[in-house]
Amino acid sequence: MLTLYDYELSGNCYKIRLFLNILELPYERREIEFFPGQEHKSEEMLALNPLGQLPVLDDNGFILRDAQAILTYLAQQYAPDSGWYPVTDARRLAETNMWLAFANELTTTSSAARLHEVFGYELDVDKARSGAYELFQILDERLWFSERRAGGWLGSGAEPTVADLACFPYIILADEGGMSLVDFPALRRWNDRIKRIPGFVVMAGVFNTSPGCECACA
Amino acid sequence: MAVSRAEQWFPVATATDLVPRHVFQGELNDVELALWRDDDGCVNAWENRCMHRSVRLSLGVNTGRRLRCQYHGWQYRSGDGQCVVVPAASQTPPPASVSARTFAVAEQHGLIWANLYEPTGTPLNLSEHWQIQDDSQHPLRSFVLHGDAASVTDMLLEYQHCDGQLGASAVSTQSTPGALSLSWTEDGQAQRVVFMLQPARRHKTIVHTLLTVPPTMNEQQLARWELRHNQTMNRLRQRLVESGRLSHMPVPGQEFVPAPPRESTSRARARMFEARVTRRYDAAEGIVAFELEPENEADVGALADFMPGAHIDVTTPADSVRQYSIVSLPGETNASGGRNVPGITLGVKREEDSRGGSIAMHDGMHAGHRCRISRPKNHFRIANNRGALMLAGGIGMTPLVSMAQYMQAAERNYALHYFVRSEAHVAFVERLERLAHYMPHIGLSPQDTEAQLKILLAALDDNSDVYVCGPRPFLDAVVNIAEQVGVSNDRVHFELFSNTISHANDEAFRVRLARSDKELEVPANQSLADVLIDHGCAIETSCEQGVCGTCMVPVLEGEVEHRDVYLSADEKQANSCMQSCVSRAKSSLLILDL
Repeated sequence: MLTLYDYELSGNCYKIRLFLNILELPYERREIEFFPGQEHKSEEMLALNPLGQLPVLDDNGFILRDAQAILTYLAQQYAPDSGWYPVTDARRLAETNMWLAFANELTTTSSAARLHEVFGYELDVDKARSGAYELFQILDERLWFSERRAGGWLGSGAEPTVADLACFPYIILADEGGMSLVDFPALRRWNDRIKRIPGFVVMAGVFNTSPGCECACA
Repeated sequence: MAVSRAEQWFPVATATDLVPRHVFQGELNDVELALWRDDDGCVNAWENRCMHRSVRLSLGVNTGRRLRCQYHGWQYRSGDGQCVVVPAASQTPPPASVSARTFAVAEQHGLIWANLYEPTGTPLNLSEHWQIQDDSQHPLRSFVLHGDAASVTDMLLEYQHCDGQLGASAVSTQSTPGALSLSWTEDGQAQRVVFMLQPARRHKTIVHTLLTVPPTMNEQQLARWELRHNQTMNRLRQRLVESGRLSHMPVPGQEFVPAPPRESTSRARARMFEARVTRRYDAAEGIVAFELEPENEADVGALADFMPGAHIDVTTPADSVRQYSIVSLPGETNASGGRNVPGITLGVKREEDSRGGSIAMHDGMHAGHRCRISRPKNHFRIANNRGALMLAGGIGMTPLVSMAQYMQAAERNYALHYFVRSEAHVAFVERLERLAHYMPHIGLSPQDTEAQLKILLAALDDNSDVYVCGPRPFLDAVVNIAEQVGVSNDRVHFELFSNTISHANDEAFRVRLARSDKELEVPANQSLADVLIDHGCAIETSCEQGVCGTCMVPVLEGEVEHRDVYLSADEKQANSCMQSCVSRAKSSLLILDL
């Protein structure tokens, strides 16, 4: 049985719920009160993850921390032939890992700005936003070229990978961190594409979009 | 040089930015825009604000024909921006005055252009300062620079030095208020790029770049150009940010700025568009069917979105405006049109004694005829998810046939009863024959009609409402009988095609406009609507006989003499609004919330 130590308002937890739902994997949710309870710093949670971070996955006693690592584990363990984590193609695998690492950069910038705005964390929010905008620019550029020459995803394949899911939450929640996506049109179109992946689920602050167009114009 | 309003066109996105089912967030001169393409490919440029609670429409959903606000689900249709659904008030159609704020928009040279000062449908008018040439153009990646348009134009002169290959080559530049072009020769080939500046906000300019593509350029070369331009612009931006001339971040303090005002008189007129009669035929004795479709590509989806029961305004060959109900279903294409474009079918009865609209239609509208029409309007529609007993009197069958076809397709509970003078007067037989729950009542006397209505209404099940359309005596009979047999008046939904009003005893009265603090005299020979319009109030009128509800105004004090047939008895009793085209005052003064 899969158990997810989870917090509803965390983008890093959300990406795991999103992927579990896409893979149609049943799991048990263990709600950890991040704010204001600080339960992720409790003794019980520190025993599972000494870094005191969420999410944590427990797969029949196999304990895993780090949202990006959990995504790759779920893909390889439960959907090895799906292409979500393309281990048989060296280049696509490397691209995926590269953008997974990029997701961590988003956590230290875009997510940090949101922590400040939503949960009152004291940190240098201007620096966080400035860093986030630089990352948004890099993503927007990548996606503009991907729309023209590839499938419109972060990697070069025709299908999304776990890296797209890993980067998604702190892009779509940018607004809650006081940042606008108005200057990043390709990023906004990519948001729509993610929302159209079968099995997509929302969290607070994330909305559904319409189904894609079935007519010839698509 | 002053630029006229008609020339206030600016690029607001590239054509490829507006992918299907996406709502693009744009900006122009500090006004936020929601730009979206419908499933027919038509582009909309609206103020990025729901009329209801001002939530950004770009957070909403492009359903293909409508934009749905994310907050309370208000739906605005493509083209005129008319609000067609308010989920929390689905019993009544949204007032005609509720629509998204629409702007003139056009797609040309690979870019989307908008004009904040002109209404939808205004043709694109690009002045020379855009330096448009007719050769083949390819939009490269657009860049956002956080500086004003004038200084960005200067900064772009450094483009040449940021391009690895251009270096010190001889480049001729031409600078105009909206654009900057660079031309040079490379490997014996003439090259040209034009930067077109979108003044997004005071401190933000978006640079769209069109590359002139020689016929010999292949896909690979184009891809290399896209990379090269991207690299050059990144270098340029880097250089400008490092030297402190540009911010790499948005400049804070960008608050909501409303769209510029526009003269209200142009609104109603702009909503009419040109349609063509693709076919006409006799639908029954005295009734002609007209199949219409939009004439111009720009209006291709204009007749696609309505709810069964809708009507349109038609400018007749006698130059009068008349309302006719749509008998077809949304999305039907007219085979005779040959264009596979959504069209509509109207049924028009020849009324020898009327104001002449139907005679002009019968005598003057032939296949191929062009006329100005409005988009569909839905004063009458299926009001809820209950069943429907539909009672049609004569030509009043047209909206009900559309509704009945819809109910059948949706597998909902309905029955259509058609009271008609003779077999020869039965219209649209081919549509009626496909209905599973259709019953004609032919040639009944008034007494027999009432008896039949009594049977039907007495047998009405608790889960159904009544929908009536027909001449006044028929409607009155249904309303009276419904009351007799205990069907409450909120379960009876009706549309009347004409309203008979006597003006013999009209008297002058005064109105005070509470918000603008004006007091006006309404003379005996003028309607309240006319007086209000003459004094600059943005009132729209349509039927001008108290049938359609378009000209409704809110009432604060005074006693209204209601003469319309649009409001229900309860609404009239409440005395909180009135139809300004026909209704007058019982008291000497009315105070209006205007």
